[in-house]
Amino acid sequence: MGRYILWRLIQLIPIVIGITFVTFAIANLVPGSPLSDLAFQRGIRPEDIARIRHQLGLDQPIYIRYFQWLSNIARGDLGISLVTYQPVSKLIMEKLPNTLLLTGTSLLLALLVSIPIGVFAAVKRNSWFDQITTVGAVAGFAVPTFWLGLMLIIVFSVKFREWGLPSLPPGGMYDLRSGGGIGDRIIHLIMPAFTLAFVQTAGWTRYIRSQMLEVLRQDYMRIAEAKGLPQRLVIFRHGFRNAILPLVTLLGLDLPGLFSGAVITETIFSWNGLGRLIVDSTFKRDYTVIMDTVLFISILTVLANLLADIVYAQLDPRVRFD
Amino acid sequence: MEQGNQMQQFLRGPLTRRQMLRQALALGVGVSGAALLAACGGGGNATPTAAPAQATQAPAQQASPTTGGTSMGSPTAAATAGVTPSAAATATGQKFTIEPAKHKGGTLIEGSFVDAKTLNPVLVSDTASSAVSSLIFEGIVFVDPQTVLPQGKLAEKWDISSDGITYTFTLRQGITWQDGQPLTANDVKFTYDMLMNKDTKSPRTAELTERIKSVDVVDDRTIKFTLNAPAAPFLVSNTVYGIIPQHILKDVQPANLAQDPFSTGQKGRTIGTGPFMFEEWVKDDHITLVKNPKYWQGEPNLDRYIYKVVPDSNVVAQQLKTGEIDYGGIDPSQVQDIKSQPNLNVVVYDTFSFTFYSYQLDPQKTTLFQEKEVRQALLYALDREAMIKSIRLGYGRVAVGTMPVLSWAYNPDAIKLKYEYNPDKAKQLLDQAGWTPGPDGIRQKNGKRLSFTVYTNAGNKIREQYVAVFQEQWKKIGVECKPQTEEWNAFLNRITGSKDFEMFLVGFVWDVDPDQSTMWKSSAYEGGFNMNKYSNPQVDQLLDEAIKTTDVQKRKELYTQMQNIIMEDLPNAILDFPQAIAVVNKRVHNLFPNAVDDRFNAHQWWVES
Repeated sequence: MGRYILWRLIQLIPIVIGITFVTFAIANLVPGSPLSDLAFQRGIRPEDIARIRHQLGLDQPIYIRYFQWLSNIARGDLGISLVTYQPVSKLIMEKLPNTLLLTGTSLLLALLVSIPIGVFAAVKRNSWFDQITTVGAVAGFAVPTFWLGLMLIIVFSVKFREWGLPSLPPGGMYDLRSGGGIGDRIIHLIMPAFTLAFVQTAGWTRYIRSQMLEVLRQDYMRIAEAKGLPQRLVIFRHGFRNAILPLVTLLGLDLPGLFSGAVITETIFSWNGLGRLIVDSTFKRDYTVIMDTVLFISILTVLANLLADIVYAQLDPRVRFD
Repeated sequence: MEQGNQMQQFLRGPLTRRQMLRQALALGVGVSGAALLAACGGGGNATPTAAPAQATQAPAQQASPTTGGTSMGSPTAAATAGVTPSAAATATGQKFTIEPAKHKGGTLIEGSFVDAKTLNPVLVSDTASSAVSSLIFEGIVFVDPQTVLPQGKLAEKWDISSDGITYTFTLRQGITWQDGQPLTANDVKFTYDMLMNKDTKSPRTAELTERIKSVDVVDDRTIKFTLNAPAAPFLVSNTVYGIIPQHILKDVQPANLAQDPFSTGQKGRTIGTGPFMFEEWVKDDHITLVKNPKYWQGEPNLDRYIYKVVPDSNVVAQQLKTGEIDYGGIDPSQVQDIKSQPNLNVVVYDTFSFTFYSYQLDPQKTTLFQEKEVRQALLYALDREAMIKSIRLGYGRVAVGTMPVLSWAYNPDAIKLKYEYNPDKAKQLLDQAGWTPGPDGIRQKNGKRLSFTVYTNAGNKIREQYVAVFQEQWKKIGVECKPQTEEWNAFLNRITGSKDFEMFLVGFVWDVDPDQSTMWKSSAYEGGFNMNKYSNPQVDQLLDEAIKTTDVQKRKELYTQMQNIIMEDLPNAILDFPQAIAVVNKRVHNLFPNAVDDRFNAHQWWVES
């Protein structure tokens, strides 16, 4: 086991290096510059811009900048933002809890909804409930996050307000004027968490249903039933626990989806997390912030996958590492 | 001026005029805001610094022009609420009526879709940063939006030597930093040392070192600036930057100034002399300031000021409607919707920004525009009033001369060539110059067709529509124009770097001071904004003379002469001066959106409870 983990960690090194390369290339090949705001402004001379460009190291050849960045992050120095000059590590740590709050809540929401629906749909296979779930899941897959988010805002924030009904805040994490109590924060969390949870719920319902169907066909299920165990016990003790196993892997694999969904959801709902940080930095061409944040999320994802594999081994004695 | 690569712009199209204006204005002036088209009140010069409660009860909000959709129709008559479009529309004579606060406390939330970059006034180069920074920090001088003339802020008075070389400022007595330390002339010197230090990321080093020879402390309250040459714009352009505290920053390496917590925001360290103190900055979300109870002009009425950042301009408009935002700029297309809201005031005001297209005059690049008749004919063929009406929805003014309406140098009656729409005159001029219609309908001369490409930056909807109008209207006089859009940075490189163009269309922002050397002087071809190699010794001479002249009336005459030569030569065609639109919630009082400085009386802002 220990050897396996070590081996997997060593395998991560080329993956992470590959990620740094792709991240750097994508961030830097986009036309533009973090200094383009300065250009074409009265009172600012080309020599001023050239000087600041030099101070930020942007006048270096691109491959030197890449290795410079690599050696800095290898030493744990994430550098400073090219736009606000704040340390990037501070920015990431400021935003990370907000993103975790949003993704965590939506994950929980998605699980709470999809597990019972999935199990029930499998048990009552081909019933009207199952049919509706199938249609709902397909629809859920097809709905783009940004569209759903905007629709929710239009209905529950804009229209409800126009109709004089209690409405939900269209964005932000808390009310700036009042300073935001816990209730206020929960109200602000509802729509973004729901939006992010929606697509996941659709996927997981289908997944749990198919897993459950597979398990229901197993011999041990028939045996349990033959022994005269109550239906509930058969389904939950023997069936569900076996069906749920692969979900652990799925959770690990789903993490990137959760973060990429957060990029869109956070932008739509002005949620002050890592996703919005990436989007804002991209439009400002704040290379260091883009690269560091994307790298941070990538490493988080890779580690989560590893963790999922390990946990899976712990849960399922059939899985062996050699 | 737009930043072509901003996310927000990508999401929503061009920046609002207020944004573009504030952005660029902030650079040169160091104050945010923009000028007003406000009440055409009497000529009284209520100095807000001196008279905080000089209040007649005249409803200031009512006096400022709420936008009347139909009355905006004709740009020359665009001035609403009684502002006459000609000389009387210059800023001189406009007046804000400050009413006494009926309520103390509360929070004012200003909304924008662009976050600040830094709080340090030495480094500020954009409007958003300036908007916040100028509430914390103050300059020795500010430009009074009512007169567009310099007024003392930290300085109580100043003397200018007769040769125009030395400026000696006396600081007001008893001004303290927000931590209680006294402000001294050493702080002023320290600030200018930082501004002119090449190791800091100050974006103004080149201009300031060229202009200022030395800054010397005479005594605690007296500071002397020695210039390299007389420069009339010095006061309004270069003495308005916020002063930073030496006692906080003396040990910071200049190279580290930008990343110091002072610049990125730290409670207790980011301190100035202004009406508001730094509290917190949650990046891309909001910046909170709290009142400075010991402010030297009196305790501010508000408890807190919040600069709120939202994803795009539609959200700004939306949150203005719901009252989540009290103050913010909007686009012309949003006015109709906002106007129907009973809780909001819409304020339209003139700005210093303008749209222009430029003819390539360097014969090595193209010889098409060497004849003055061709350049003039093309401008005669454009119906600029109609363009403003349909594309800018009426929010702009046709340029008469080169000066903005707000400038004291604006002198439309003395401008000889106004280029009112006249396609027949355009054809006549082209005929005169020997350009005759060829077999394909396009004019030609000596076998050369009058056909060229006009570049503009992609993503700016207004400019894209403008070049489409060029194509259509010039075709009617037998001229072929091919519009071409480019990504902002590539476009910028083309017009300022390689200068490989026949014609381009872009926007720019004039300084509060009417010196326009940066565009018209032949020496501005290198390092300035004379991108088309225009050169006229007479213009050079007039500009040089004007910059040495401190007498306003004399300068105005010189600039009028210059404008008439420019309008005759027409190296660039200044099409129009767009107006900006601000929205203020009716619960907010004493806040006057304008293009010069909307924060001059921030301590007097108050909100109803």
